[in-house]
Amino acid sequence: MSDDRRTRLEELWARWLSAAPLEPGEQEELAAALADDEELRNEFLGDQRIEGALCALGRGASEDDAFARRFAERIAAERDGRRFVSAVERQLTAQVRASGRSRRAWLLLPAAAAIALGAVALRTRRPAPIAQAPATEEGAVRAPAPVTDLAPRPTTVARLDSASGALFLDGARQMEAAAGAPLPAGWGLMTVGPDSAAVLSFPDRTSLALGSDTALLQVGAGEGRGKEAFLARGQLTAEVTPQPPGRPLLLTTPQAQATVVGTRFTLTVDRHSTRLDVAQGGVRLGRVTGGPPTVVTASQYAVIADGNSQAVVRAQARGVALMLVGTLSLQYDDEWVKRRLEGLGYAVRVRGSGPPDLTELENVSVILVSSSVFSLDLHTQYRDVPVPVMVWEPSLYDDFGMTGPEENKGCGVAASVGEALIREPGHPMAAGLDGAVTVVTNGHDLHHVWMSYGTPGPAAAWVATWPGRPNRAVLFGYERGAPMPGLPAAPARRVGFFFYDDGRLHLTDAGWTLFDAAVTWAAGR
Amino acid sequence: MPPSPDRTVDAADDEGRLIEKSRRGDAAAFTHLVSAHQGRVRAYIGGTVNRPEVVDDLAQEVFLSAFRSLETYKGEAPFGVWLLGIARHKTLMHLRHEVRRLARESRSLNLVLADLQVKVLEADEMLMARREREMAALQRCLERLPPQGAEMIAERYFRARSIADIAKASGKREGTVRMSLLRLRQVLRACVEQRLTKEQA
Repeated sequence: MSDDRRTRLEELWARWLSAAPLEPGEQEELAAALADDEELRNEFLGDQRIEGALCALGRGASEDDAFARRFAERIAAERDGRRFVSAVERQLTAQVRASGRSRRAWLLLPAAAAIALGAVALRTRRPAPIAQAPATEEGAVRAPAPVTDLAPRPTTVARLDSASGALFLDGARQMEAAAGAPLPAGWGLMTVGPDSAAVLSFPDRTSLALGSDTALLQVGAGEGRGKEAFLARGQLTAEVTPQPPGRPLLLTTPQAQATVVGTRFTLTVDRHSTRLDVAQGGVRLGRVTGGPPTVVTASQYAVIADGNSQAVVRAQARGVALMLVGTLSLQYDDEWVKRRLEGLGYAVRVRGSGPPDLTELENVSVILVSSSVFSLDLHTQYRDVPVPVMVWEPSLYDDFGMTGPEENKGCGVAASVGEALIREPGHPMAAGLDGAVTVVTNGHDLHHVWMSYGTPGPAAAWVATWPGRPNRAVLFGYERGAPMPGLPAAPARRVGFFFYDDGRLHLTDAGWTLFDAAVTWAAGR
Repeated sequence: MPPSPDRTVDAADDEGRLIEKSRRGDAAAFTHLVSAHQGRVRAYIGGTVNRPEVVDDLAQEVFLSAFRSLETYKGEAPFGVWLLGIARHKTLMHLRHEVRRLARESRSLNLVLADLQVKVLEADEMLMARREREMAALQRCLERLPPQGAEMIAERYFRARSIADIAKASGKREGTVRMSLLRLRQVLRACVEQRLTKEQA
């Protein structure tokens, strides 16, 4: 190979390695040379190894800290399931002892433990313990008597109409659950994975549809009592045919109990709250520890959260917001966002990075893509959906066509002082704010907060930019049909937002105001 | 200056204690291990993946996998080498996925490179310990760069300045800066190879 030729290839390589653009012809030239020349290949790949090592060595202490902190947050999120159960156990134990009134609370303990630990130490099959609350007199509570010998084989209470990624739970045992299989009394059903789902049908045609990563435990029904179950986590949509007088369907969650006579509704449970969305009829919702129930009727929703003495009932005004997150148990920031959306009146559904369910999207007002999403998993899966999308994972801006067109050009995340400079104060997403606004803080150190940014195309509304860096938009949006760098026309409104997940990060009041305005504008179509 | 033998023993001892604590579920102890080893893991992944945010995500996945499977670490190899084995696996999975994705999208250069990197990693199974030593050798070689070259490396990699900024500040063209950096990396690579060969001898 001539020196000129070699220098030419080295120049191309150096440009590629520094993420400078290469023309298609140049890419082909370099690709062909790499494919043909082993010596060149070894040299360039060796060069890339040195480049990677230098980049790693050159990271500052603050970046290293952020990496370690992010890891600690992920571990904490992974443990949430177990922590959640322990918290429920402690909370219920304390409440039962304090109030001496809740007959069901003790019975939730093994149920909760069964989800996360998978180790309820009941070796033999047992009758449905929820249905056998052994309260000897008002105010006296004791644990269910252990089954010591051969218990009668429990009766079938329901059948699986359909199942994907579903498991039956019988105490500590887990068994794959297939469509058509009977569900014995006292058993549970759990869906595992972002695409998992299952539908249970009872003989009276009542159906319970479990969403992804949902645990429904201790399903019971039988003579002299109504259907009952414990929804430990996830989302359940029910179509309940009218139940016999005096025998309503009882659904218990860690926070609440829903009493149902006949209706359609969705119940969503996370670590700190239970949300009920009623589509038809009415449902009585009360705290699991007692107190007067609240009646929630069609087109209303109610939330019972930690700290709420009673269900908060609101009208369903905003439709459904679909959150795409990295951890379904929700990292801290995702949890705050979810609560905020609920406060705005959205019914929030949470999904992982699986492909979009186009049928589900027909009823979704806005999709929110969190920075907790592993961008490599999501890629362009949601790029073309005709539903408004708001993204705060900068690595996905190019995948959505909002920046680019080269991969990861014009987007990123960086340490900041937490300020945004409003450039279009008249835009609805500016929410009436103007000038430099502090939007993010971590409470004590304003110089180490992280913000996402992007460099969108000229058709975008550059609502706010990074102070001193006018080419970094921290809040921007495209109207439906507007040309974007990576797509000829936005399939629906698209918004890039500066939020970036970090366990210590907080939006200020102004930050949340911009968040509300951005969601509202995006969903406004 | 290389660490004294005593300090090395102390460090290994500390690491052993942190691993034991982590095995018992102490996430804080494991986070110390993350802090200590993230540079090597990132360097290993960054040696084949040219997107910093992907390197970051993969490195996180490596440590999560390590934390979950800590029981399988028996101490036959140094902990850092064990981590690099996981990093190799994760990177390989990612690159294979990339090859499939890029094959659909016909991005020829990236496809060729991802495919080459898959082959390199597939052949790299026995070289984890060598990768560990490469990192240490690179640090020594950096100290031996002439001042002007060291300054340019520092600007680019330690102060994270863009090629354009460096070019502007030094009154050079961007292409010249890129080529200068390439030559400096070539010098470093030769130096690393030389040190490793000497160590082996």
